[in-house]
Amino acid sequence: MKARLKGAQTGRNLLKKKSDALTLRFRQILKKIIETKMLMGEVMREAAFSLAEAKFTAGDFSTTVIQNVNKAQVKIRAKKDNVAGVTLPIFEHYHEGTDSYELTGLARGGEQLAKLKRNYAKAVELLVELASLQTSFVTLDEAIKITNRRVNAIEHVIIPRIERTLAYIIAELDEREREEFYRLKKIQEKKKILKEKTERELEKRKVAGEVTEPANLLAEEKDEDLLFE
Amino acid sequence: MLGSAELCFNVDHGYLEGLVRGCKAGLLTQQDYLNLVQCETLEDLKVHLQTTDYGNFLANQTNPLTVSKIDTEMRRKLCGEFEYFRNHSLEPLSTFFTYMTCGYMIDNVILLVSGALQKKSVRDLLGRCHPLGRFSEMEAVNIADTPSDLFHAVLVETPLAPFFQDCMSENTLDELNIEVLRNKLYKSYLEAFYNFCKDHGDVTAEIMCPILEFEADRRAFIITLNSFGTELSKDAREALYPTCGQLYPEGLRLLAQAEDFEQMKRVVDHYGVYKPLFEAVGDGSGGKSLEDVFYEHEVKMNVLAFTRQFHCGVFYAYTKLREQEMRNIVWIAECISQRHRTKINSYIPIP
Repeated sequence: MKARLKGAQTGRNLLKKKSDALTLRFRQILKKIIETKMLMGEVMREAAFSLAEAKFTAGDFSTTVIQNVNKAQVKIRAKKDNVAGVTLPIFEHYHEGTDSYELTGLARGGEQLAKLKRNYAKAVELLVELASLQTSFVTLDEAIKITNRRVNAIEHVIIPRIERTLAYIIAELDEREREEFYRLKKIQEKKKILKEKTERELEKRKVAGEVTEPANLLAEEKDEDLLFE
Repeated sequence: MLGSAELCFNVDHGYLEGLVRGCKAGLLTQQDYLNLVQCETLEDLKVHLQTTDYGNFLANQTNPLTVSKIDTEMRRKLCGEFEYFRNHSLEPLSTFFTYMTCGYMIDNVILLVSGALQKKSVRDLLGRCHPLGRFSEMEAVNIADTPSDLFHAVLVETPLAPFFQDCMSENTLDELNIEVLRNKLYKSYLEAFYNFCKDHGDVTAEIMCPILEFEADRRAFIITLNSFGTELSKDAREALYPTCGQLYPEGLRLLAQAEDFEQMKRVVDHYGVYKPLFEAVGDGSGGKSLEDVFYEHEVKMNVLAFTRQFHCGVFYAYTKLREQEMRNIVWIAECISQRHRTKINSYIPIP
């Protein structure tokens, strides 16, 4: 029983450590998310403005771009990261294929278009990072909730239960011991009373002369059975 | 005959010239631009535009007002004016107008071709074509499967046919990159336009030829600048330079060999007209870019076209100035709507 209590307490400590580690990582990710989101606002604004600049110089190239879309140039791979036993997905982007819009704006606005492409590429990279951060945020949140629930359960339910059982057992044992003790004492008392009673009766009879003492072989001076002295 | 312009021009085209001068007087002035720059929202912009020649062109728009709506409406207005001029014109002015629309037609054709090749719906594409470049065979584009079919079936009827024939033989149409095709078409168009103006003679030639020469050289510069670092080879690049400019032939050859901006600048040292333009180019984000400088020069030349009378160049100049004004207004509207006012004054003013 005591072993069980020990086991429960160790388990609870371990889980608390896991929960602390997860919370620490959680706070870190939260800070990074806030930073990235602010940066995102800036980058998107800059990208939208460079779009306006490019439209000013190059005219309307949106239809050209839309017509020539075929495969994605920037793709994403998902990797796994392990934090205190919780797997978090991390997205990583990689480039594939050539830039099919290299010659767009050859006649006008090429410089602005190049700047535009760079700005939006930066925006896309930031978006990918933000996506990884947010998914890990959500997963970590779940994991932390579960772990905390377990810690609380152990702390407030399991351990008290075990302790109460232990206390009960100890109390029972003590009580039985006391009962045993009491019984023994009571028996001893009774025996004593009985003994005293018989002694008193014996005394009484002796005084009344009814009871002779049986011959004391050792105190005998004369022995009748001896023929010769 | 030297005096023939003054004698004969007004007979056929006098009414239209008067009309176009009246329209030109309605272009936005510096004061108008100052007012627009101080607007806080797009609604203010709309109110200010109502006091100018634009009138209530945005009156039927529902909220919210976006920059693209402003752009579409302005373009529609310009198109209306242009069609009016065109419908009332006689020869040779109508051929002149056809030449002017060829530029937009080239853009539309490229758009339709690339869309048809990818089996996109023709309806959407037609909606996105530039209205000034409309031609009657546009809807028939989706019947063809490859560019050569397209050429034989559809484009032979349009005014663009000679340009296609100039560029290449039909079997190379398939492999060519769409942008290279666009630039090649534009080159033959520009040269044809230039020859037309030159043959017309008179004041028209005097005014239009310098403008077209500048346009040709400007394209050569910009193509060179934008092809640094791309896969476009030097020969391919040289094939895209229009030959009707001042740079032909020596300058073009030198440009084709250029590797970076400094070498381009050295080429320009031989040509007095372009040297000060290149000097005015700032570096990076602070100063003006080459394209801004070119736009300003173009605007200057277009305004000068109005100082002479009795020529067709006024129509060209007016259309170009109107377009620049549209670009300015859209730029100011974008800056206002994105609340990014630092560069709001980088529009090109029209004196």
